[in-house]
Amino acid sequence: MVFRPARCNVLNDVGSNELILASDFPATGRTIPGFADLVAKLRPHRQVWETAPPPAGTETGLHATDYVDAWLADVRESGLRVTAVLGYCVGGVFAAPLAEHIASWQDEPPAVILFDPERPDGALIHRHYHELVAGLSSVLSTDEIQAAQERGRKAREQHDDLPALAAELSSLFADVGEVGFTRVGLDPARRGELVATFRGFVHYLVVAAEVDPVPVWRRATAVSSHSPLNGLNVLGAEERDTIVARDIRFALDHGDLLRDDDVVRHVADALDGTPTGAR
Amino acid sequence: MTSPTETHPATRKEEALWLLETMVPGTSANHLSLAFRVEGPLRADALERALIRLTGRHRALRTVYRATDTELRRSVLPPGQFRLPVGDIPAATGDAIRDLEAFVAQPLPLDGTPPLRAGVLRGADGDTFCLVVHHLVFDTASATILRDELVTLYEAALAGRDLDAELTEPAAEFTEPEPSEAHLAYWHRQLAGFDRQSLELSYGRPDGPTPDLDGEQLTRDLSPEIRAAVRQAQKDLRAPEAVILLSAFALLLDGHGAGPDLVVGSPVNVRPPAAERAVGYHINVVPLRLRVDPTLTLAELVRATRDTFLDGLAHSGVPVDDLGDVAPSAATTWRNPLFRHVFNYVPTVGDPRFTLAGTPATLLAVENGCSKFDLEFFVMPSDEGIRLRAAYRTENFDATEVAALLERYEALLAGLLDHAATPVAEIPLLGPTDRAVIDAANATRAATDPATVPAAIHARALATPGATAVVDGDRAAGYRALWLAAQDVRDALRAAGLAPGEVVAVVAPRGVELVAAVLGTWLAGGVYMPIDPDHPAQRIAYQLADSAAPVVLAPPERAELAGEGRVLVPLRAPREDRDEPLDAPPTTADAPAYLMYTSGSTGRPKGTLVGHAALANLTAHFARELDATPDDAGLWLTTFSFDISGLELYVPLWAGGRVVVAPDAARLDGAVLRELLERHDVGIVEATPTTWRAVLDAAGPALAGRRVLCGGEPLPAPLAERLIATGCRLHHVYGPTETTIWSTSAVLTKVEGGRVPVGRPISNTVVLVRDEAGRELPLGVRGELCVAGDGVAFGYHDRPELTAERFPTHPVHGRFYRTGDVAFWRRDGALELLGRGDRQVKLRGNRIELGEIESVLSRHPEVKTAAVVLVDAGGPDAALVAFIEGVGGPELTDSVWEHARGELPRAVVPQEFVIADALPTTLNDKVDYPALLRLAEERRAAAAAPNATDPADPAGGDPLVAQLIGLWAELLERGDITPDTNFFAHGGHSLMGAILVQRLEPLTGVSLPLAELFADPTPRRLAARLRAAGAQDSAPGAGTE
Repeated sequence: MVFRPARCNVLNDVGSNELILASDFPATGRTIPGFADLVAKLRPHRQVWETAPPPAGTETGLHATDYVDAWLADVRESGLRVTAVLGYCVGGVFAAPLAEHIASWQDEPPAVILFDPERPDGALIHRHYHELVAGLSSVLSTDEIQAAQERGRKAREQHDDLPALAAELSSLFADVGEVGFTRVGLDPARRGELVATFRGFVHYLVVAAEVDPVPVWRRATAVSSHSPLNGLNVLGAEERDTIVARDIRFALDHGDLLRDDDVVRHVADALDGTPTGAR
Repeated sequence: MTSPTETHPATRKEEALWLLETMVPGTSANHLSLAFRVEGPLRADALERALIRLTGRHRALRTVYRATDTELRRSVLPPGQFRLPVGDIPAATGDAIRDLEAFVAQPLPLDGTPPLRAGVLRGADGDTFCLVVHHLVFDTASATILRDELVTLYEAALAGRDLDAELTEPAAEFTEPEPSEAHLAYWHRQLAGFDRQSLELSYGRPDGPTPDLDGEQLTRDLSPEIRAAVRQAQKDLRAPEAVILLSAFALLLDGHGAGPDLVVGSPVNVRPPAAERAVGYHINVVPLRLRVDPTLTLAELVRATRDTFLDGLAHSGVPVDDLGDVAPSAATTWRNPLFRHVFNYVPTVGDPRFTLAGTPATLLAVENGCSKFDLEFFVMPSDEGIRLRAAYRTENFDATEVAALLERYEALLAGLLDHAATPVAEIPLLGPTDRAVIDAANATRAATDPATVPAAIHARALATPGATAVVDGDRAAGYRALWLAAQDVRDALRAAGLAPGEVVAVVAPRGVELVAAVLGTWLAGGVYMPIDPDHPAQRIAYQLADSAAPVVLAPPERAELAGEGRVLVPLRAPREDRDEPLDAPPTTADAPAYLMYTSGSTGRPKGTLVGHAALANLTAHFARELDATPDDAGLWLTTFSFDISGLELYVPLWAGGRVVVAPDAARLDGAVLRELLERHDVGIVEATPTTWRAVLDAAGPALAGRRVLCGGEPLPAPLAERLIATGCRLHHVYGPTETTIWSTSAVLTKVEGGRVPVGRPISNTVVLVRDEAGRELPLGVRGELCVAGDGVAFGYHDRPELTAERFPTHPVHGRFYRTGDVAFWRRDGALELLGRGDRQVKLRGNRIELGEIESVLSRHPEVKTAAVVLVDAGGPDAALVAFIEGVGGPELTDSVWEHARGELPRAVVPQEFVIADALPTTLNDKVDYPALLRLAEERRAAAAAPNATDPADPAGGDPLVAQLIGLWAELLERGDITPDTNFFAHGGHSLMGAILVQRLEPLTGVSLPLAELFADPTPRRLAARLRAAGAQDSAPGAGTE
């Protein structure tokens, strides 16, 4: 019988007894390529799963360990041997405890490959809010957008505490959403879904801050874009040099990282354990 | 240091400076400096005191910026809040200017600290003070103000006076007002419809794979004569000096490929008189739109420029960064969307010398090592002359190229007075160096003696009648026998009714009979038209009909060639010798010699009529260049219907040597070629790059010491290197049929920088590189290669309009031919070819030379040849497809791809690489591009097929999928939705997704959570979810799952 994970999406099913586990937050309707796109090009001869968040609205009260435990339960139950843990953006933070736990029950620790890994902070959470609001130009006026962004900025300045900032921004988003989403004729349930999606995502970012990924990152490979506000590019040169074992940099926008053929080749090499550039 | 309390968002103008730094991290492009050297020691404590007072006095110097992840905010520190330490600048290099430049280049972080720093570089003969300030709070005018005040305060500090008692008048302050609606409207009108692609020069290089802002400068002092000429032009043309100088800059850019509609940035100091001495960033670079219409006279251009310039000044209160919506940028780029070239008129450069506390001091210009613009001209007039400083991006230009620009600018200025009434397109662009190099290359006069090829061969037949002229397999024919056979042909043609000047179709394989046919045609006063007997019947029929040849010389068995009024005259072989005189040919140099059909890339084949003088010139030149002697043998390898075959035949006969007939197999099989070369001791052999590639492995070892010609299509550098390595003497030749076989030649002894020049014009040949307006272009500027001189053909047979278009007349050089090939002059007087003009394509706004991409791909060690085509040109799916013939199999793709990514800008890396055993070739052994294009399009169609077997029904008969496709198409406003289109990767976002799932409810009866669309965002996958959730297909008869 084929095992179906409860908390992960299956991205590749080739009947292998080895697994690549990809850590990401795929449930936002994100417009840039994700692990599904990478896998479509990579075509590995292994199973590939992607972590899925708890259903929107059910995350209240959960901590990072709850997220990680749910995903690990799937992995343990499957009996698959994990050869690599991948992480995208903040997914890279969760990749650390995932890899650490898996290493505790396997002979060999999984490889860890991080794509533009970043630790969440107030700036990151605020940026997501700011950009999301900017994207509502089809339903909000310029003044409304600017006002909402100004409120976001104030919230950012007021709250050093991440959960408080997240709560405030979620509530601001609910306010603007109520106005804008009603205008396009969305019914209350759908409006609620959109707000809950944002809330769920922000919660994911907040709990990620509970994790210290650095000890695992130090032995990981990072694959970096050149977008200045993403991944390791936000770090100072000194910190950047020591935070991962290997940093492969590409002249790519963050959004292109998981669909670029060059990246695919490097990942393929890294997964095979052969040095890149050997062919 | 306390943190500022009241913060404000930065202006767009300020934000633009910051964005540049986020796009090119680590750049010091925004760092400005005030530096001066004093002939004595400087006291740091006195400088520090002076600086405390200055920063207290000038609000701009206390303004700090904090960059967050989404924006830049500004605040002002209260006076006295910070002290600017004046430390020693490390003397690290021993070169003061370099040490200062390093100091200027250090980061000025936008982290809430004041973006400035000061230091002193100590030296044995004096100290140098340097203040580095971010452009956000500073500009050139600020430096002058600060220098004056610093002198006062420093002197007071040294004297122990109270600094608060100095400079008691309040510092001027200036807050730039919001641009007025009227001014914004002015710029919108000015810039409407501007296409920034017209800013690209046909000079220098495009950006590399990862653009930087590295810059250099070059300074040139123009002579007093030029100063006087500009003054006189001001009077004659009634325009301010800045306008005269700007007009010449526009002409210069236009002459280098920008324009004719172009925008030049011009920095303007926007301080009002009352705030003249305000420190801060009060420069606006106004985008002046100048139209360099080639039909305007210079005086008219200056008038138009004056109006634009003065209007621009009057509306300078609008920062260009507020005009982003005029030219929305398609891609995130550091470049200003409106201009790439800047004209910076600096009329008031004062004396750099001054006195500081009684000690002589001199202002120094310390550069930040960057250039924000491709090219910026600082024009600094003074009473004595005009100083020009050109700052440029090193990625786009090298120093020699910029020096040449300055020289040409000087030449343009010098010629202003002579050209006031001259149309812009006729104003010479060349500087003295350009003129000297190009004239030297075109100094090709040489005598052509005898005057025609038949006269030369006749002379050989009389002088050495028994010498072997043609070796054809086991047969050989001497000169006298050949000439007698030609006389037989002449007699037969006359008997068939041929009149002088008429065309004789010659259908024969290479051999003695063909040579006799050609010579016989000439003896009869006719014009031969070669037809390859192996060419397709349709092509032969077309040529016979189009040329209206009344006679065909062909083997008797080709009876089908006669008819429609055409007579077939059988070919003649030499007979036994007989006592008959060798008649002199009636040919004159001004008579036509042959009619040559070429297919061209589009349209029907056309016949080019070439004269005897042209053919004789080519033959005489190459007999000299190849050192052909009576002992020489030349190989006749190329099909006679390709004009280059003529060189292989006529050069040996002109020299009294032997022509060795090669079978067609020698073009494909290197072993056959090698055997021929060795058996007949052939000295001269010619082929196209395609042929050389095919035969080089086997024939290469036999080429040492021989004279090898290669031409007819682009010669990739690696192939040139392989040919040179054989030990042959390699002649790289170039020329179109219309200027008689070859027009330029280079003897290549090595390949430098992956470039292979086509050399210099051959005898009696003048080459011009011209732009679209017909201007002769200087060294390094890419334009159409045109050929004048003795080789120019009469024109196209029966195509007067095409002839008039392609063969215009030059006032000095007479009739010339426009080749349609893109080339430029190198500094050494050789020409470099970039390929066909029609191989310059546009892809997503980028101008692309397909030949350039091929040349880069060919440099991969395992690539034998590369051919790139653009499929779906102009369409939404336009893509570059590279066909590669290489050593090794399909696994070569990855490594070529990697090579391409490393060497080419991203926009021109081919989307697809196809490894082929051999590329298709034309009848003349050139790469067959139309065939490759068809192949590429077929591949794309085939690749698209599995997803949409029937374009009329992409859903494959599934009504639910069809319904979803309709919904996708409606919401995303796209017509290209397939069952596998990812909603979120094709313009959808979460709000749209919510609308989509809500709309699905009444259609399917299923209320699907939004999260399920996130998980399965394609019509096919969502349909499966919907069915699993019990969706009802609304179409009758569906729902079979």
